[in-house]
Amino acid sequence: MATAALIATGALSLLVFVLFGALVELYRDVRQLRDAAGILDRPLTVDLGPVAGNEPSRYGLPAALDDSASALVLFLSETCATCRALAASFEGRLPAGLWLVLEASSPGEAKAFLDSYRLAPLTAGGRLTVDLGREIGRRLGLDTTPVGFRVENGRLVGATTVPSIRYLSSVLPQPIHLKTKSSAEWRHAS
Amino acid sequence: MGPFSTTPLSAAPLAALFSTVLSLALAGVLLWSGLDKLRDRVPNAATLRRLGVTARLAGPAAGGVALLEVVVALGLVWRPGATWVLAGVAALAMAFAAAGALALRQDEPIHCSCFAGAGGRLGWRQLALLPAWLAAATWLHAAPVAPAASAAARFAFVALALASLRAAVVWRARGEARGDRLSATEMYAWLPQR
Repeated sequence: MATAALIATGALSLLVFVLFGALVELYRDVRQLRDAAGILDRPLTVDLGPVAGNEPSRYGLPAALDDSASALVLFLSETCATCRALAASFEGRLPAGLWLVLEASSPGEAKAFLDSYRLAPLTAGGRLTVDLGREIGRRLGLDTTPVGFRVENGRLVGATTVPSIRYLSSVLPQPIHLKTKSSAEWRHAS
Repeated sequence: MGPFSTTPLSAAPLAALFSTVLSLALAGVLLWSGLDKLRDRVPNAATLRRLGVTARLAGPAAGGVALLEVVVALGLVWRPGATWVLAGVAALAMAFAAAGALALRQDEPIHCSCFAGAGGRLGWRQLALLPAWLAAATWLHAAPVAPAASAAARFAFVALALASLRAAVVWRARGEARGDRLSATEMYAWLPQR
């Protein structure tokens, strides 16, 4: 009886193994279809034109960005659904290296947006700018959102659309961790 | 004899344990490979065709290799020391090595259809693994083997281990697919506004 049960367990497990294999294939097929349909985190490059190589502050962005080694300035709009998904993903805290510009038509709309995503306290920190009337966007020649502008060594160097939260996490500047010596290593070195 | 005295371990139980682990590991590898090839014979047949097997024979040969892998794997579980099982292991190893050698002689690299296409290129790896397969078969031929009475338990163990490993792969693929789906939803929300 025990032997039969063990054999049945083994046979069923092998069946599950084969079926799981088919399921993995199915996942791969679906990914291939998404890729072919162009809905797999496909960002579009935004041509910066004459803006490329200039300091962010020239266009009304925070002056602190002019001294930034690496940053991403994300333009969101109160009317864009993806922007809302991105804003919700911050959960009230901006990741390191990310600066936000919220394009809003009126102070009331801006406040409602910031309050809904618990972003209002971030305006005090300087990394969140409210662009009333899309002034900054107009100076940059921006006509779509969400768009991320890359800043390197205080200069605007590139921009892409940000189609998803996952894409945003992949393009955020990564902090560089310096390798520090332990006190014992310092003693040994000296 | 004090409470902390130790008895030297006999070599025989250790050898038997090693034989059991070895035979189950080999069985797992061959079952994984064979069942995947049986589920989808097309990639293996395509590999055989690129190695020079005619179109008429490639399909049956792909099925035959897969079936042999499964039979030998089950043999390793049920009769790990049997001559026919070990001859099967050696034959498969030599066939894999021959395929690797043939692939190295081709102008273009040939993708290995082993392990559902996750095996990289056919070539040096199959050649390098030949001595390991033969050494394992020789060990199983010479060393004591696990009793036949526990064969059903060994079979269930190997099958459950394979199903669990595959479940982990499915779980990872599910996570990626979910991420794709959420990203696509966000993109759909964005596309009409461009």
